[in-house]
Amino acid sequence: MSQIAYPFSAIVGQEGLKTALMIAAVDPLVGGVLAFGDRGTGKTTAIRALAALLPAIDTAEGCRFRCDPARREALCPDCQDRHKAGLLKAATGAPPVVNLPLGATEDRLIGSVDLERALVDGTLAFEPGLLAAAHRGFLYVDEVNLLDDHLVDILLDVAASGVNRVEREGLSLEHAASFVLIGSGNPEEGELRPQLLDRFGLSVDVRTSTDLKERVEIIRRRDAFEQDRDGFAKAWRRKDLAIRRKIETARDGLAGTVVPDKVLEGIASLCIALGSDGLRGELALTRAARALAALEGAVAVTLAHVRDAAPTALGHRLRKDPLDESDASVRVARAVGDVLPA
Amino acid sequence: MSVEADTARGTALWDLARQAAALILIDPEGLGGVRLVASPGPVRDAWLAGFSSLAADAGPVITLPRALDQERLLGGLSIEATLMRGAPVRQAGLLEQADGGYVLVRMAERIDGWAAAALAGALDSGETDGRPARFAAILLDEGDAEDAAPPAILTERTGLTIRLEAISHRAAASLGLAAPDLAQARRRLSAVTIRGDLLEALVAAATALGAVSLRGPMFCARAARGLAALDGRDSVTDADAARACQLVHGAIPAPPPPPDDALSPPEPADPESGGDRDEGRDEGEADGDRADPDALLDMLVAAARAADLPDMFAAPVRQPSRRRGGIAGKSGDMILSLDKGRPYRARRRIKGQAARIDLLQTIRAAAPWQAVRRTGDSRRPVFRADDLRVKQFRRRSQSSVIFVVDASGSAALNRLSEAKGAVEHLLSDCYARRDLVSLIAFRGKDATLLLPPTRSLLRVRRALSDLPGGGATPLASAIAMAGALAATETARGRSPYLVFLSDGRGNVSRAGEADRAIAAEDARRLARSLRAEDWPGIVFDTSARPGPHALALSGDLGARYHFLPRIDGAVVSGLVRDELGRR
Repeated sequence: MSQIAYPFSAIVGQEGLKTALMIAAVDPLVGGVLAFGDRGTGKTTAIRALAALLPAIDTAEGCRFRCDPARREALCPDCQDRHKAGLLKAATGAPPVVNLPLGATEDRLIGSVDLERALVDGTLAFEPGLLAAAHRGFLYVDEVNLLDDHLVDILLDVAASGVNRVEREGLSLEHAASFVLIGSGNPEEGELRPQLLDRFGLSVDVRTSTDLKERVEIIRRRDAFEQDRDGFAKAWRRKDLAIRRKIETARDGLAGTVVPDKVLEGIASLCIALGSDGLRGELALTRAARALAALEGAVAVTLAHVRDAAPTALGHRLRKDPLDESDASVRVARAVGDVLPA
Repeated sequence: MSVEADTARGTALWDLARQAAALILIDPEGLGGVRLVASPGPVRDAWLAGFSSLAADAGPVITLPRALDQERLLGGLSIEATLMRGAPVRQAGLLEQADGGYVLVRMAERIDGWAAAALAGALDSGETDGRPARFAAILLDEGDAEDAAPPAILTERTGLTIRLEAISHRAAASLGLAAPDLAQARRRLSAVTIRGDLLEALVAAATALGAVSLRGPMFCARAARGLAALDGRDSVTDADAARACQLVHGAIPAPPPPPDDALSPPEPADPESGGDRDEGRDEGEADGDRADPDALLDMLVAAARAADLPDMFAAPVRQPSRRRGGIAGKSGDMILSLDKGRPYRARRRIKGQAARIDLLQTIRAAAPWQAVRRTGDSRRPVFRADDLRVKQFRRRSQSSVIFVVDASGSAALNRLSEAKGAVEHLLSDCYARRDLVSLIAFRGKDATLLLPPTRSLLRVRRALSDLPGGGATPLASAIAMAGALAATETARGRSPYLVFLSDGRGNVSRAGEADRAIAAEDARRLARSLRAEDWPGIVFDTSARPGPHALALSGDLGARYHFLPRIDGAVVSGLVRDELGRR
């Protein structure tokens, strides 16, 4: 990192976004976070801050697919060779945050023929793309609503399966690509097609704060950060470390967190009441509620966790009605009140 | 405006431009860049020349070429050099080369989306693909029209905006900045402090000016610090803050009327609401020399408003030069392109053209010659530059539906609300989402672009929530505006489709005079000039019974004619969709 990232704990407000990002960090299988809303509200800052705060990961040294040296069964062919030769070494580093630029080509995203090796050695080799670069980290797409549809399709496919399959230009291979997909955008510039919306696990409405005191505090901190990045980062380091520990503990505890049948029933009846199509909503809500419980250190998921997670997990799955202008989160909150009264 | 007043305004604006140059030279990273709204000319050249000579001392000044490809911007393998040398030769991208300096973007309003995103990413993180790229961007915005502004992801991240349009070339003598002064200011910058109440007032002023993004006040604080440093002081004064507001918020258009009370900003000028604010302000500072917060706020807002010159946006829309042949086409036409779309075929590479190499086809082209070319016993295949094949892609062009709605006369309200319904119908149909929709309404003296081309339902609702109706019928102006918009859309690679909702009876001429004969003549002439462009369209005749006027209009435009006395949004959108589908 050439620049010190703004500390995650120093972000004022934006609780919804922060929680959603932490849920995704605890359980990447929740399926990506969509942050839709105004410009200049710190979406980019929050994502970079979270990545800087997360525990470092081990990667196989020199591996273009960012293999995890601890998982022998999932090594790429290159690393398997290295392992057999006893040359597999681990390098530690922060999880990657890969920015997918709007105009990215399909080649750049999924990888393509390695031009360098083809031109120089005359061999057909694969050059990994951004999907490989984001493995075990975050793939961030600003203005996801303006991205070409076929790229969004690929993105969501790989994000859901964790595997990138390449069948093109005489290449045929697959490699692991599991990452947390984070999309952001401004709905004033175009909405995301409902088919794509549904495939994001969580969605957050990011609004700019209208509270003067809060806005002043944001600017004050940002200003202090710009004046002295080192000092500011040091001052917040303890709080950042506390959040890191919380995420680490939650990751360890996630598998042991129980989802009682009663809670599963509650989730199902909520989804039925909201008329959200398909089972994706139920799955995302279950995972989000469990991650939330794990973050709180609870041994079992309760209906309270479900209530908290419902707006982000279901808000974007409601049928759009051009004539109903009421906010999606309001509609979810209404249904939560009806179906799962506190 | 008198000559003296004009000169005075020009001098004041040039002063702002000078300060912007100084600020961006001493604090490039904090401010992100400058958006320069100006048409090419001596004034802009004077600013750029002055700026470039000073910037060259600090670091590289990289101008982005008009035809930009990904390898050039982000770096990559240099194909020619690699082939020549037989070993990989990496070419540093322009963003990398600009590290520690400036990136100059000419015609920033035309920059491709991906390039804008790459620039924005580098401005955010100070790196590109893991390589350092810390720079400030200078956006040269030729300010054609409001709908042709540079992408918001860039203007968000470039802190300062200056306008040179109203400056006469006499006022623009030189920047009058000296390198040693700038160096001193740069050193002083980190020590400059800003009072808590001033920071608060900057935040409140941004809200009052309708700037939603929090980047605005942040840039204001940086700019105010820079101004103090330039003046050799260690603390920011009220005057610095006011000036900073002018430089940062000067170009923010007036806020749109909030849809309802819930969204309106807190009343910062209301003395009763001061309670909360006092609490937040009491940290650290002594109460001593603090100015009245409301007076401070009013001063900042007034300063920013003074720099706002809305008449700039009212300037007539210039006809953008059209790129013939290239990418223009009818909707549904397949467009061949070297960068976007689905793979189509390979072709020979034209040198200097931005394109992607099709490796398999290149190898195939080189294969038959290997026996002749091989020297010695090397097994390495030998490539020559003419073996290179590039990929060609094709895609369907995006349609841009332009509604031109008659808002004059008595039935205006109904017509407008049904037109709005048609727009919403078109957009809410998820398969039509790829199309853009815009709306021009005409009444009284002139036509207005109510809705610039958009895909967003939300934006439609906001723009069309409160539409005035009634008055005379400036049909000619509407046709002219539709033509200009269609030309802009064509230049962007979209296929315009014109939808007129009118009885075809204009009574206001292009010049705004109420003369039926001239008005009709103007409308006919303009409609025929549109026809020459071969843009498809449809005219919905809204008169009580089928009249000759709308029929004539459709004939002049070369558009289809449809009689529809009772406008119905669903019918209009259905017909338009069918028409688009047929192409």
